[in-house]
Amino acid sequence: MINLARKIKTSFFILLALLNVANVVAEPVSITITEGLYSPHPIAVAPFVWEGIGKRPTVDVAAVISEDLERSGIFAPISQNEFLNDPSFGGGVRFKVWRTLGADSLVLGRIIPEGKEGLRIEFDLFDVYKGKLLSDSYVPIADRSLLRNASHHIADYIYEAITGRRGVFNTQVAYVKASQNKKSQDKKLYELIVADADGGFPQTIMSSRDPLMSPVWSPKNRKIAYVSFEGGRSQIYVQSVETGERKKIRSFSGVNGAPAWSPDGKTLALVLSKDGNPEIYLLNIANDQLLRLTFSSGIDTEPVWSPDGRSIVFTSDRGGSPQLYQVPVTGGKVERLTYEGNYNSRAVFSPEGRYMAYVHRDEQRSFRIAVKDMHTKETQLVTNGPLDESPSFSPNGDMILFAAKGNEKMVLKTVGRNGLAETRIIADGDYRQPSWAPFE
Amino acid sequence: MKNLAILAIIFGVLALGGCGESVKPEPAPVEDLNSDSSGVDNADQDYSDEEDDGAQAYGTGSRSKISSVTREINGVSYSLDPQDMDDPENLISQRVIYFEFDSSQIAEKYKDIILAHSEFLLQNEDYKITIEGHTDEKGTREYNVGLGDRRAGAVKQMMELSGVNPKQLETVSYGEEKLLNLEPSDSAQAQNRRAVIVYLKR
Repeated sequence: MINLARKIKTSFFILLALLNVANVVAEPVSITITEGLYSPHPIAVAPFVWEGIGKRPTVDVAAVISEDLERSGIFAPISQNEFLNDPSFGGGVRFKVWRTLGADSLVLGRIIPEGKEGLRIEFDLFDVYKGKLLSDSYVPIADRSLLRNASHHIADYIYEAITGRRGVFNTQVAYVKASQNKKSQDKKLYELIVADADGGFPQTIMSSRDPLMSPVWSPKNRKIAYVSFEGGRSQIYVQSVETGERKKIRSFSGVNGAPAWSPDGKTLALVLSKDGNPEIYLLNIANDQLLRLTFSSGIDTEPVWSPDGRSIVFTSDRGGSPQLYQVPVTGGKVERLTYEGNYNSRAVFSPEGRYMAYVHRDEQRSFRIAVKDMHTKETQLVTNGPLDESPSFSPNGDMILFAAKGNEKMVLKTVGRNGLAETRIIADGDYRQPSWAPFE
Repeated sequence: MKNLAILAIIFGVLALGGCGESVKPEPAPVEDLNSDSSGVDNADQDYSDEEDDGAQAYGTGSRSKISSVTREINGVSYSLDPQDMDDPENLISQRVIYFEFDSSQIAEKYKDIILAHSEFLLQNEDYKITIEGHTDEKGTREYNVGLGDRRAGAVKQMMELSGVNPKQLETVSYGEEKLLNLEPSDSAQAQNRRAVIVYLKR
């Protein structure tokens, strides 16, 4: 029924093939803005009926689900204001009415008290076009405080039922928050925070009066590598999110920065300037062995692993302006990947490897997030700038989390990989460098 | 060009029998020392006050090692006495070098400041500095850490070429993490692109 499910099973082999193509250089480079070509899937999520006695829960389950789905850029939830009648749960669904509203899918639900504190959230997903129930399911929770999480779970369920890909609304993100100390102009407070993917339930896992930078989740075991300037010099730490236990990675004088986990979690790519200027190194975490990968007189930084683990894409100004380059993890020939414009940096791959996002400066000198489809070779600018940075893919690859300059401060936003539904998710302070956690 | 000659002489002296190696005053035209934040303000005056050059006796208290020396670069005299280092009249009190966008090249007008600090460090070997590299808010954060490192490194390299002991020099790059001016205007962002010389307590 829905032609959204573009499953990318073959991407691994496609990527391998791509990486072996020597003449990336010769390919036509095109940056096109295709925003609006994608038509999101219209869905109606009716208000969930409260079947308990007394006050209904404060969380609007239907609203949370709708907002989640909308942020993906893949769904277009129909506003509750447009609903013609109060839809009821179960029994006869008037599909004709929902079709009139333009809904392709419909979610009806109810919340039923269960036991002393518990709730049971039931929901039905319909294909409006076929007039057919696709699934009926429920989520039990111990108490009302979990209602928001349950709503994200239901959004994930609906997302997967319709697109064929896992939803990401119950995942987490990490980011750095900077706060100005009111008394001292000089001293800020930097916090490394882990929160829900929609910005809810923020938890500070590290704080410092010196800058914290570049948090990035390990592929497994819920660890975060980051840079701390405590003591007036940069050092890389790896910290467990659960226990708070942290370990300092072998460090050197000068820059210690830009950590990036290998897909197997055993090696960190990082940047050191111990030999005179910033270069890319690989550090084997188990035995502390260091391998230098780049040799240029300029800046080499922002390494990221290709998803097959065979090469590193990084930013370098060796050609006169920052551009993206690629080098095998065993060292060797460096190839330039970007040519359009005079500032392309900070690449990141979608987890399954098909897409590469990076920061591109356009002709108006706006910094915007670009997404390159490694399969079709097409590049699309998915944000509007003027100062967007630090893209991070959702674990299903459908969304991008990034930092954007608001009035004076940085805020965190998400956007669909298709360039739709740019949304502020955290905006009450100064936030940087978000990293989306992988699926557990 | 005359100024360059003076510079070179100072260096010859500085290098203390360093056989004149290393110091490479670039043959770029010495523009003016004028202008903006560098505040080398009396530089464009006439050079008639060169006589001030005479050594001055500063109160040195009970310090074990002292250096009550006045030096001159391009007609600007300055003191190498640690007691004067924060005197706004003294070149040594100037500790910020500004850069162009995405550049780590030291502009001609800031070289005197760096040379003065080199001399200070040569004269006061128990002093150490950290050179902080900073960038504006444009561009990506880790790239900017790299750029800040290059800026701090350029200052460090110039000092090392002047004969300063590398052990007196540390660098740290903060990239865009410590912006001075958050306004988006070009002039505001220019204030963020800087290397800062920070003297450490002995």
